[in-house]
Amino acid sequence: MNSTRDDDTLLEVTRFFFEELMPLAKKLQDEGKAFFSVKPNPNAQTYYKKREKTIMHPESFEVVGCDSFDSFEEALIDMWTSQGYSELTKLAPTLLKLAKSLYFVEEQSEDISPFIYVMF
Amino acid sequence: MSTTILGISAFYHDSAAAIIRDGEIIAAAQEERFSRKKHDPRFPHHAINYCLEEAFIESSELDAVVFYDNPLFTWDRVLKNCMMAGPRSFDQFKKASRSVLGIKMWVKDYIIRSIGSLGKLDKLLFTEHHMSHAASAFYPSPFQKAAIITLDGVGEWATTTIGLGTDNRIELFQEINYPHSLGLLYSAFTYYCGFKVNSGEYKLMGLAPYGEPIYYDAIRENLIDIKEDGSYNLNTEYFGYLDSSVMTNDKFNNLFGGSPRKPESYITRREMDMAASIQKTLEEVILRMALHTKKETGADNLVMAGGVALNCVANGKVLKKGIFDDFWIQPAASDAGGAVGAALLVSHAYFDIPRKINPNGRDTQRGSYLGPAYKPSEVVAFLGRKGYPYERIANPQQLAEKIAQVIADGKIVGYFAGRMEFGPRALGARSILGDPRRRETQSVMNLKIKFRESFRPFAPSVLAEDVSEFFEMESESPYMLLVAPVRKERCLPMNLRKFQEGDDNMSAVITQSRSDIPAVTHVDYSARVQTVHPSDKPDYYHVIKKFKDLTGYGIIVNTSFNVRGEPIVCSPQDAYRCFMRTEMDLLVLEDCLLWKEEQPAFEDTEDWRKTYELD
Ligand SMILES: [Fe+2]
Repeated sequence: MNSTRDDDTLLEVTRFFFEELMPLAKKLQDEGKAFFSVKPNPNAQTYYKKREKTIMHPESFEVVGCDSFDSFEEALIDMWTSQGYSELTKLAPTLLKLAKSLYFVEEQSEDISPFIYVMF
Repeated sequence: MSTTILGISAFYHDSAAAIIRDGEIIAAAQEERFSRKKHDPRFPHHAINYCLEEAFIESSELDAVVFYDNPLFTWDRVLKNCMMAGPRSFDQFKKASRSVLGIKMWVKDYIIRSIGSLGKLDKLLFTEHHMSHAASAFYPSPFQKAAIITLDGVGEWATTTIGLGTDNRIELFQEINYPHSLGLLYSAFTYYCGFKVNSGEYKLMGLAPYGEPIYYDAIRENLIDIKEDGSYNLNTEYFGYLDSSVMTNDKFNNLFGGSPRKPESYITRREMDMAASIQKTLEEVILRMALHTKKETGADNLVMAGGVALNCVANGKVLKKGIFDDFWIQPAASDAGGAVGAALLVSHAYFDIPRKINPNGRDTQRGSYLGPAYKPSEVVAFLGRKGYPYERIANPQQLAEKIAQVIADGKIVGYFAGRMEFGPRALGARSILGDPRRRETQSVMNLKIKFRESFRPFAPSVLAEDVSEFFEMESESPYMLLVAPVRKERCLPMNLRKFQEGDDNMSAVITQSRSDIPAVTHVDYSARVQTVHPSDKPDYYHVIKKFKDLTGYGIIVNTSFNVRGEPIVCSPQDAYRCFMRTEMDLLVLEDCLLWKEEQPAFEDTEDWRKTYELD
């Protein structure tokens, strides 16, 4: 990857994070919406959640959105709409742009892997 | 017509590939063994090529290719996590967007570039991360029906799942989601104690018996709430993983009285006590969860996978409690095993191939010897080409006898035979062997061969039929996933006065004989046992059997064939290099014996201590 492209991509990522993602996060927070609990709840009976999908049917092996850029944006929109998070769908067009800029071809000879962090 | 599926796990840590034909595991291997980069997370080109070769198949002839995880849901978690964590998570967002949005999402393109095809289906299939773990645990197990528990750091959203496997159907009905994760909790302690996240967890477990669980109450009161049914939630205020790339934060540090231990610095009482405390917490969760799972499923047996299932000390306690009649754990429990699980799941749940249970009551993991083998003729050709002196003993009985004699003489043997193991443990195909009766074996192997911390004990390989002669256990443990106490009558009293009075120096404890098999007896008189059955690995079984004929002990020391930070050796070249860099006495390459003193001077072209990053 050349460094000019790297710089441009970083700019895009930074802009998205601070100008789109964080303002939306703040708005949701102000509305009292949270994606997950961050602390235990002493009154809860259990922390196990009942899963909606309990088995993998043949059709659930197909993930739309990972096959091409064409389906990615719509897949995000569908996912968030079905989860009841329609507020997030407006992030989808920029995320598609980011995906295109970040698209990376790993070279076998490359010594440093981008997978330096445990969570991803 | 047969159905052949290629499974791939990649881009997290420890990439791997597996190939399944008609529900049978044909081959599986981790990329690190070929690329020689420990826990290599990159796309597993080499492992895939090996699997295709082993199955004699072209990529276009594959019925399907499957990835072990759903990148879209992973991205959903990454994004929402950053939204919850706020502006401080920018660094994390930068890294995650590059990894997930730039690479993992487009794994299909990597596959096409690597092998040119997605097989006959012409589209890539995906499984859910914990479904892959569950499938890797249930399908190869010997059970027609079994309860399932998966536990890891995180996969998409889930960190824990509970379910039931019956014939070829897997059902997961309960889960716990990110950021509440037993795996991440244990990793936070691993990091705090100065070990590497994702590989040092094993060291933390090994350190626990030296300490007292004095931080247990602090953990229970501040970090984790555990319900009666084993479900749990964490107080994320104490952890760094939501908004930074370190596991713990100042609040965590303050709770435990200071900064994390610097890697490679002196290990103090605090780390030993931290290890003991988190181990106790982990065991409590797992035992309660096992009881709950038993109640929910009514199943007689349990299967487990996910990185946390490698905690063999906890596993031993579950077995001992008798909650389930029997259990089976996927030896490649962490994400590498996801490649096997994903491909098995596609076989059974997508192509509806009936599951074959091993009629002899054993599992279908084939001893986990699922990697490449080298024929004796290939070894001979290699040695001839290089001009390395060797002695060949083609008769298997004589070969086993010779090796046993060398071990009994107190020598250290590098043993390379048959197909390489899949999973983190060496099980006698790529192993370093020694005499467990000798007190000095542990320190010699640690310091002169493995170049690693001397507190870490070695594991014994014991004849399956003799296991209860040495250990308080009746069951088999072919994958070294169970810890059991050494039989009382074999144990010797230890003088722990100085250590108990506060002298942190562990060597005073380590150097004492703890039993008549000191090299494999941990300070708490336990051992991480591998039972060896003749049908799984006859050559290895015979070496131990001959050792028994000579010494009366059907047990030897087995540690992985590598130096610290190096992936386990794969090829004869890797084995020879490792042999020459260490103080091993004899190298066995299939039926060829190489003595160290007969080898020409070894010109090392690289500084391996730099090549292999410390683990
Ligand atoms: Fe996992």
